[in-house]
Amino acid sequence: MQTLRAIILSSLLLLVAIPVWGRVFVEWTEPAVPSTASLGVKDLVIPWGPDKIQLMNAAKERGYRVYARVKAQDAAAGVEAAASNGLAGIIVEDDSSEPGQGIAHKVVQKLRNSYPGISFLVLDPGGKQPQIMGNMVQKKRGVLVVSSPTRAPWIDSNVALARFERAFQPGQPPLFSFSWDLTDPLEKKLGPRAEDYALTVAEAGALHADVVLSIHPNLQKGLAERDKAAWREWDRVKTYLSFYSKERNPEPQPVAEVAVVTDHYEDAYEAMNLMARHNITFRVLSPNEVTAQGLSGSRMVIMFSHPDAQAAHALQAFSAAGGTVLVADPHGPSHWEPLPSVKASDGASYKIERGQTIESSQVAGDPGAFAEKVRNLLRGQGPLIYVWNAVTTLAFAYRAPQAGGMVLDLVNYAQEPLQVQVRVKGSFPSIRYETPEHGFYPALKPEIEHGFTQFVVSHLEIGAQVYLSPKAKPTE
Amino acid sequence: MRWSKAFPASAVLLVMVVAQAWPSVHGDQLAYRKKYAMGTVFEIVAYGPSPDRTSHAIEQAFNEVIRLDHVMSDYIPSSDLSRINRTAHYRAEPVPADLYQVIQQSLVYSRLSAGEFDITVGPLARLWKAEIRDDTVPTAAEEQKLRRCVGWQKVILEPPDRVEFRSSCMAIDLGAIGKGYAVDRAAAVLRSYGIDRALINAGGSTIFAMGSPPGRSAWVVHLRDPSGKLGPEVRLNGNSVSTSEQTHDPKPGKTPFGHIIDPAKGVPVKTSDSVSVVAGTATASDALSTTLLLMGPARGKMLARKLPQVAAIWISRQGKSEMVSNGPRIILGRSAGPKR
Repeated sequence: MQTLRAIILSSLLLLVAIPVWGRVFVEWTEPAVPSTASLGVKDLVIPWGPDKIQLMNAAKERGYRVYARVKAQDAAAGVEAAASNGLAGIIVEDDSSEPGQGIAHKVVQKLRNSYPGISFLVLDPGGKQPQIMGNMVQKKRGVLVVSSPTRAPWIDSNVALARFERAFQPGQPPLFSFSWDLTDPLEKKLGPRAEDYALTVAEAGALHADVVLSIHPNLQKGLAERDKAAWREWDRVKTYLSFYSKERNPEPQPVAEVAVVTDHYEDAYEAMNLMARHNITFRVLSPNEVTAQGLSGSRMVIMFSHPDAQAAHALQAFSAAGGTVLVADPHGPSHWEPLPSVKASDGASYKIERGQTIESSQVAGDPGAFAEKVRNLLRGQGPLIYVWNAVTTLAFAYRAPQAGGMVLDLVNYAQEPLQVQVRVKGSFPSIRYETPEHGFYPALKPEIEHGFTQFVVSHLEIGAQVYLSPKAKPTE
Repeated sequence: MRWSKAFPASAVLLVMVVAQAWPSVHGDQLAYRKKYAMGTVFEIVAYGPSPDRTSHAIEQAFNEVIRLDHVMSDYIPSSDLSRINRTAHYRAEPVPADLYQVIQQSLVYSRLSAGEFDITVGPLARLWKAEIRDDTVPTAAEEQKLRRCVGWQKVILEPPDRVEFRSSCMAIDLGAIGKGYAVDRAAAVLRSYGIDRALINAGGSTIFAMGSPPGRSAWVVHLRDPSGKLGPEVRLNGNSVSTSEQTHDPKPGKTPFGHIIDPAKGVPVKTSDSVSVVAGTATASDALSTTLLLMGPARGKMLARKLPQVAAIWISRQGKSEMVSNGPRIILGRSAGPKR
């Protein structure tokens, strides 16, 4: 009997532990809440406080899975309330600037053992509002400054954060939140536009991350009071919520050309951000994952931490097999110095059998130039994704469950319809394009040449998916 | 051409400081909004007694920019410009007033610069864009063939609203002037809402100042300085500054690369200088910055001296600068500009 109970318990734990990704947790603070069917979400987050019990119960009655959002130090009180009020779980805010390194994880680990029936999620509140940025900013004392660290419209995205979270918090999909950047008086009053909410949903969906979406109090009130204008806005958001909550089983696996090795978020952040900006697909590895197995599937490795002897050995083998290693933290003794090298102003490069290793200090001086360098190094064999005419569009590649297929998630941070020209490595005669607004478009006509597939997406508003198949459909 | 003074991935870097923007004695409040349009980020800061009304005015100004993009873009197939690029060969085609005006103004700068400024470089610009995309170099024959399509004298304006190309392969590219024109039109929209203190920034490459911030005599704008040594700045009040710079070669050792085409030679202009031009309107500063980049300081100064209320500065990567002014002052020697 005890064995059976143990099996049931561990099965339940397993169910709780299965990572479900791309969820949108709507954060609600107003006293009244519309039904789950009308809002189009199932997961509702309510900031924890004893005065919120009534709202939590009301939300439960309206069909929501209710989560209490708590700070790490309030987690024990929050979980008690969750247990006694039948909440779905608690979301514990991480308190560290280094994702995955705060005390929230320790707290959650401890509480998980005591409350096996409750779902615990760790939230990184350090996300950014996804948006394009201008180069005019307001500083303290009313001084306005214009500056542009990159030469293209700047994009604030959560790509680096999500990739880092995925590496250092493998037990759950990345989960982040952010504060809306509302500088204009009218924006402050009315809150973000439907497009801003939709972009948040699209970005999280494309990153296969979860997000806590904070709804402006004005909009909450409007929705609760059945205000038509508020619902018109929200219906546009719902289109995105529905598109990105589609059942996708099994989860497509991200494709990454580059492995970024780091255990310090801040050190690698700017470079990761700019690599994302250049549509360079990457994943993050911790330094102890620099092994033959850990590096397999990558074309390039970028080391933001100094490799130890064991890692250097794995990197040597990776280069010898044709890979490129870029040591962006050349401090400490060089493992490659005895080899013949070509010296450059920012480091040295070593030819190692079929590949190469480059030591470069450029990243600290100019992350933008560093990202360009990475792009150029990948250029030899052609980067996986190339996007033209769309400097505000980021593309994310996933391996489709069907053999040899690929799914591309496109996110347009400009929120203005664009025509996007894409080139993908590989041969894909069958391409379908789907958007939240229009559903499936007629099959796209790709051009396949020299091992690359090129196609044009005629209308990308905010988010979309492209399904690439290596087999032509008989009807096409 | 997608409007940016540089290839889309490399809009000209311009560093600008807007002078102290604290509320005025009249209680005007600041509104700020941004919008992606014409391949770049447009930003407007404006002062007005009612923040709601000011924000609304800014929104209308952005709508005007977007409307103009649908008139003047050669990237949008349904735009009026794309239409005449397909149909106005040896046939006078009617165009909207905005398009007529901007072409008319373009021809003025072509005349002034003896053809250095030329909106008919479209076919060549496309050819070089293809080079960027496909990693190829145009052959001499291709280039020669397309050079026959270029020539501002072959653009015929028939008042009040018709345009004809006296060439079978001509295509217009307004990338060097259209954004400036859109900024001027955005300013007109703001004025129509009673706003007289605003700064309109089109991706950093063209900035127009209406009036000054409350309590100040001008908006202070830091200019692009490729050397990082000079810290040039200009004070704007009722005028505009634009900066042009050739796109850098992302593939070292390859053929010349860049979005600014020398119409006389048919190839991207080879210079790493940055040129900033101050003029009375954004249309003028936009057109002149490209023109003076193509002309270089020696000939460019001669042209600028003929133009009232124009100032220009050429800055090399090594920190060498050359300046000319017919009124507005460009000041050197301050800080190298703010960093984000």
